[in-house]
Amino acid sequence: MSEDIKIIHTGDLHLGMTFKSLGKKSKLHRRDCQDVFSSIIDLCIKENVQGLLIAGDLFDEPNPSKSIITFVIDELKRLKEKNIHVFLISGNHDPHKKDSFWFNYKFPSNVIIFENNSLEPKTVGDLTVYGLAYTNNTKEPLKDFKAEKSDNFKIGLIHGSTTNIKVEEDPESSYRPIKKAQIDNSNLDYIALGHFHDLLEVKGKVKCFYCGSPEGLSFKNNPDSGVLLVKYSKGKITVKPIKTAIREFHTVSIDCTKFDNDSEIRKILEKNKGEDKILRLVLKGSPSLDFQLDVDLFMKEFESKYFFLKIVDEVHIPDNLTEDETIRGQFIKLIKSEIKKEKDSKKKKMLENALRIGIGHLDKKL
Amino acid sequence: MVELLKLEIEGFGKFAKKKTIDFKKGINFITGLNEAGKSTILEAILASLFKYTTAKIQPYFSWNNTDVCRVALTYKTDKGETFRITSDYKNAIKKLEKVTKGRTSEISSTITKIHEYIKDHFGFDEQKVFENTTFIRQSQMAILGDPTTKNKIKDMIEEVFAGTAEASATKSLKKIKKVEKDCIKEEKELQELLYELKDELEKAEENKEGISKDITEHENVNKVLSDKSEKLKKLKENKKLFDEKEALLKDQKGIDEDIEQVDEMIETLEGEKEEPVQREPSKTLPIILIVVGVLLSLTLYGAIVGVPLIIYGIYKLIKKPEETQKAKSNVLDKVTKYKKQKKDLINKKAVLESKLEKYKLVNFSLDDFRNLEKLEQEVGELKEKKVELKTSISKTKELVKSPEEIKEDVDSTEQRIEELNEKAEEYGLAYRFLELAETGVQHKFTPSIEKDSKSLLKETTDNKYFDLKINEGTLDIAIKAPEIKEYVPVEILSQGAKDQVYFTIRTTMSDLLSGNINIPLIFDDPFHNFDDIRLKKTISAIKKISKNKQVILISHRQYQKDFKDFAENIIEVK
Repeated sequence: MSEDIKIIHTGDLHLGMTFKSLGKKSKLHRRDCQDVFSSIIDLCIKENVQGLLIAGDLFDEPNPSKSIITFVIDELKRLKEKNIHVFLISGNHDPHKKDSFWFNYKFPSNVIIFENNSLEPKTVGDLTVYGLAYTNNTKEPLKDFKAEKSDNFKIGLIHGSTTNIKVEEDPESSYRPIKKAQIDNSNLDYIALGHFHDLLEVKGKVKCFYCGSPEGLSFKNNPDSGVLLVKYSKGKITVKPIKTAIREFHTVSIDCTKFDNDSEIRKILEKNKGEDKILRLVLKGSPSLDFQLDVDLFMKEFESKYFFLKIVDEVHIPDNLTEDETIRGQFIKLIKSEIKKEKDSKKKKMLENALRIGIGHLDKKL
Repeated sequence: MVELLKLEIEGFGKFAKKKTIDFKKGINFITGLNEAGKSTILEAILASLFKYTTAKIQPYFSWNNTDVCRVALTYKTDKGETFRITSDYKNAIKKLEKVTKGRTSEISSTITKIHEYIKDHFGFDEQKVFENTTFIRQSQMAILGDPTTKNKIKDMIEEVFAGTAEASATKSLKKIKKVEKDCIKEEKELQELLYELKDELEKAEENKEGISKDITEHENVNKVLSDKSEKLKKLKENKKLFDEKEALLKDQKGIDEDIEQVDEMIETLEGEKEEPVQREPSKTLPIILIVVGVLLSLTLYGAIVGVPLIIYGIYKLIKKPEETQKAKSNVLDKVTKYKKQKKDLINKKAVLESKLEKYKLVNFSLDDFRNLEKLEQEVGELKEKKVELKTSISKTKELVKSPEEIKEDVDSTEQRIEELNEKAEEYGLAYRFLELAETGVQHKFTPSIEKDSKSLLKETTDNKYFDLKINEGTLDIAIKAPEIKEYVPVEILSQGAKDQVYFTIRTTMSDLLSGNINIPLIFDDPFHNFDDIRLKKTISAIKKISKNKQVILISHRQYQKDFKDFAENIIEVK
């Protein structure tokens, strides 16, 4: 092999996804995801890579809007001009099924779309990519697979879950199971995985990575979403994460137990602000009843200082409340006994809020 | 019975130097001039029992003793145990000790812990509730005397019932209800918007399908169109070749015919040349013309016709031989001309034939072009259809928001509705339980207040009034007027009578709210407007109360001079 081989590994872009948790900002973030795709194309050109790997779920749904598909095609054409090949597989969100859009659009000739539902090799120069289309949830893509011996840089491109490695209640993580032994026996040099939305190295005999979504898609994602630049040099592989995310998803929790007023929360909101930041501030603990939370007021004051701000009220009522013979005391007593009876945690929280509201009015804090 | 035993005070308010005040069972009367420090004693008691922030205690730091600010309160619980709370405000230290046979042992120096004990001993941990229950202040009685404020007694009851609350339950309930209603109203509006959005979304989804249908059809039409156009183009080219060949063939045929004609002409003319026309033209006609002319010329008018006739006749006679000659040479010319023409035609034919040579391979028949017109029409129609589809696609794209966009609107509206729904429910819950608490408290206490206040009222009003009624819901108070034997609203009573009703109800409520623990009752000069008889009666009523409760009464008036032995303990502050 004459020269180093460089590729970029991305996936799970979920283009066209709407973001319920982002409310009115969903539209903008939907656009962000497309902008990130463009910047990945720029990055491929800048780094002069041999190939771009897209490990599934490029589109969020099986029937994406034409505008998104044509956008993708136009962007991929830019790589054609630079003679960069694109290896593309479908994922569980955009499966390669009969009559799907995959068959209705003409992708540029530099784009290799894997259409079989078992691994097949495609070779361009010194690069051989084994990929497979996504058709169902259950098939084990690496079962009984062994790449043929060759001097080429051999990559596996798979959309699936490495079970046994990331165990979660999430049923999605059981889609397309990939087993550790199968990875180790694959005879591949690098396995480019897609499906999980955060960067994750699957440690074993073969270098194996989830690249994660290049733009945060939910509060579960870490704020440094990006792509992987994989370099193959004299049989050695180096993997370098490159941040591409336009927005950062952050979750901050604070214990309000000792707060009598909102000045601490104000400080945190001031400290974390940023035009590109998406912040979910979770308020916890059990502050005194003097602490009255006016989320609407915070939103008015701080919403513009963030790309998106959400304040989640998870505070509870303190234990030592006076249940005297007055109306105030009796009100507390009545609601507290109701809370004790209530089993549903959401309803419990509503009762606690009702208590805070009642006391807020009685004490003229509201 | 909870009893205050001793108050030691130093560097607090008016008391720069250390002062010890001993309390006794029964009535403790604190008297002195205004500004002497009577109220400071009460504040010192409150500061010992409740949490005072630095800001709240600051005003009590003595100007004349900047070193210390210390208060120690010794009291006996209803279980008979003695405790002492020492507060060092300069150093923010509080200490609770148990006093057994003159010896003290520390119980706690943690403020939170100390207050748990105080709550246990006094039944209150909220200063406001404590004050509402045990204190009867001059200021409250003064407001009672203000004719512009109505229903003060009712307000007082509400205030006491509200506990530490700043607002009465009635007022809070009104505000809570309003928020709940506003939420429900907004929610309803949004619900309507949501229906519209969902409708729009459905249409947009259909449209999306419509667009993709149009797009597919557009692509199909395009394909068929390009196929047919290609076919049509080819056919048209062939037709052109066919037509050209046909034209050439027609020309060739024409030339052949022309040549044939020219040949015929030449043949005829050659014949004419060999047997020329020898026929002498007749001389008779000119001579007749001349004769007629002469005859006509005999008359003057006849000459006009006759002379030309004579001239024409003579001309005819002379001219004849030249004409014949001319005819002869004419035929010769014509022959030459036709021969040249024939030569040209033959040349032309040769050119045509060479041209036709090129079309040798063009072998169509008219049948081959039978479908040309139909095809042309089809292509035209397809072109129209293509334009139509294209405008329909771009139009639907322009007019309708994308389903993603509407879905986002639906989502955020749904979210807002849920938020409002929750808020409304929470306010609803707050309303429900506050109302329950209000009715509960009022229902529990109003009958007791009615019942328990009767005897006290009788005593304080010198037997004038002895029956009052409190409406459980509205807390309106009515008094049975002895003159008419009917209940009248408390508002129409005289100022003095109102004072007494207030004092009576207040004392009764204090009893009720403090429950089993008989805590001291503190009167801060409330009998300002009482006349002598009523004052006497009130004091004797207090005397009765003081058998079960320690009483602390403060006044700048020297009651001890008017009412002998009314107090167990007289403390004069100077």
